[in-house]
Amino acid sequence: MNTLVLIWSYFKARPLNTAINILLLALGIAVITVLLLFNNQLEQKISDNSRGIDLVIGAKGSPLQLILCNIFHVDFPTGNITLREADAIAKNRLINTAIPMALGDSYESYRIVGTNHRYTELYRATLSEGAWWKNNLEVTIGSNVAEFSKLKLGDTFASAHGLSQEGHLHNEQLYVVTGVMKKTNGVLDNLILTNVESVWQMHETSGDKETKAVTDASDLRSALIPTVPASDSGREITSLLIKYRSPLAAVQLPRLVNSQTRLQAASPAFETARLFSILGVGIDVLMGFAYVLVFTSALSIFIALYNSLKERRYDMAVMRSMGASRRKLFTSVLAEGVVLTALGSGAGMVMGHGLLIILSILLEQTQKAGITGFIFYREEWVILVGSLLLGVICALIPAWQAYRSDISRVLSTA
Amino acid sequence: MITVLGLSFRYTPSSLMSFPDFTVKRGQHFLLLGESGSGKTTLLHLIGGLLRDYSGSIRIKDVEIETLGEHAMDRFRGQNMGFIFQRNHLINSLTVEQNLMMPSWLSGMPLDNGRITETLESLSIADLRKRKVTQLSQGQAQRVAIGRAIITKPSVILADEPTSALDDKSCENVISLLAEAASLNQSTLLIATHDQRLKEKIPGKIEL
Repeated sequence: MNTLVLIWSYFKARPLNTAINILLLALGIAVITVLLLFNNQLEQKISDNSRGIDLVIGAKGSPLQLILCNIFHVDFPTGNITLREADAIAKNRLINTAIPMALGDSYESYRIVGTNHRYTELYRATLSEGAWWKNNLEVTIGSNVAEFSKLKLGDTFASAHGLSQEGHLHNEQLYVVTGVMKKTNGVLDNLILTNVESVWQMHETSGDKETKAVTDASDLRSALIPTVPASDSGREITSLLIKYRSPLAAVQLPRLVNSQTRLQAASPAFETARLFSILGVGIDVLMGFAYVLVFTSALSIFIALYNSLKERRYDMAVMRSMGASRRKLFTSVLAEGVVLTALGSGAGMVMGHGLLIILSILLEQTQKAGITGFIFYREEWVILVGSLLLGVICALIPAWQAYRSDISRVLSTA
Repeated sequence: MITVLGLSFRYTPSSLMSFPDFTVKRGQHFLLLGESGSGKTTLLHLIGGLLRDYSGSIRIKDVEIETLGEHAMDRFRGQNMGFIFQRNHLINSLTVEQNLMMPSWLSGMPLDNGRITETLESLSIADLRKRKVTQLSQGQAQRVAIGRAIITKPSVILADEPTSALDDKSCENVISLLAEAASLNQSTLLIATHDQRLKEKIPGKIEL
């Protein structure tokens, strides 16, 4: 015999009441847990994906779109910039590295990105098989692309224009898979990487295939795409990912770029903060809803304990007659509240994690985003401890009543 | 075993209840007789330490119980006394066996399985051991309540109107069970009652 056995027997004696209390609390905690997991992972992904990129330079338009498109690959390009303009910027001494990005095509809605190997170094990507792209039309694919599109080493495919699966197919030329990257849990997992030249080649009509021969003089070559001459005014790319050389660049470079009529510079840090402040409203509303649920369940637990204590005042008095001290009754009622909230919050956390796990199994989208339920944050301890405290608070008044009940009076009014 | 001397008690400052002096020796069985309102339950609760702040003297096992602090009184009660009430007041959410485990758990006394079996057998309810209390008949529940009072072999068993709600046959059953169980454990038995049927069963009488 111990307190837990007694408490458990009381729970079992009123199964519906116990179940509804646990369920109410569990729902509240589950919503909080899901939001916590989702929010934290999203923030983590966003900061991981924009790590090492200080500035994105592209065509004028929405700066948020520029960031979403070129860093997170979830929006459409704002337009193109000429290679000549890009080269001019990239040569600036305030810039450490400038990575060219050429977007536009996709395969089964996985975006094809024309870039250089610096881009993979940015995310410290490694190969799981094959090799990095080298020649035109060779691609290295992300792990999710390999998994969901079933592309294998040596496979060839035609790209589609745009991001949708129904886009115009560039049938004339086929890409060939030369490598597959290991999972990075970042944006690379969902990309097909190739060189910029390949993207250009796809979009050249058969008429203008007169790629000018590169002269020996290196100063005439494009700094970004060394295979083409700097003077090639017809070439365009989507954007440049910039890493600053010095903090001074943060002040000067955006102003410099934005002063040019066709270009704009967007800071990932600033734009994602803006994005979060927009998303934050929705998250706050959901959180508020969760707190209402938790508060309701706390009230319900309090009422349940209060009422059941009324029914059990004889139990209490008889227990006193058998030698139980006031303190023992007090702590056993407190324990009852704590066990109830522990069960509720435990169930809620299992539900929260379970929900995300199920989502990530059922929805390809969650999987691609790299959101998982198999992750635990320190904040969850706070939730757990907080709900145990809630149990103590709910049980405090009933426990106090148990503590100061007059056994003699209870027993003589039998 | 129990000595009461010059005992009086006030529920309110204006109401004084006085009790006769008496001494009950170890193993003796006594009735506390009196009409409703004569203070039988009050006396029983005073002896059991459920009511405090009396004037006069109550000594149990040579301990003046007023000198015990509240916590010490709880322990003393748990280790030396067993209570039986008019209604059984078993803990309904527990089984028969768990109800019998309660006194030793709450008073911190050791209990072995053999003692549970022994107690159940002495009351011929060994087959009810795993039964939920809510599934018991009135008579069976009464036996469990007696079992709960005697399982720790208390020196004193205090019974408050154990038979007043029972018919003649059950009354006879309960009182003989109680007397037997008390004798078996050499417990002193004190029964507060106005039930005239008990007068011929129990030799010792204290009139209030």
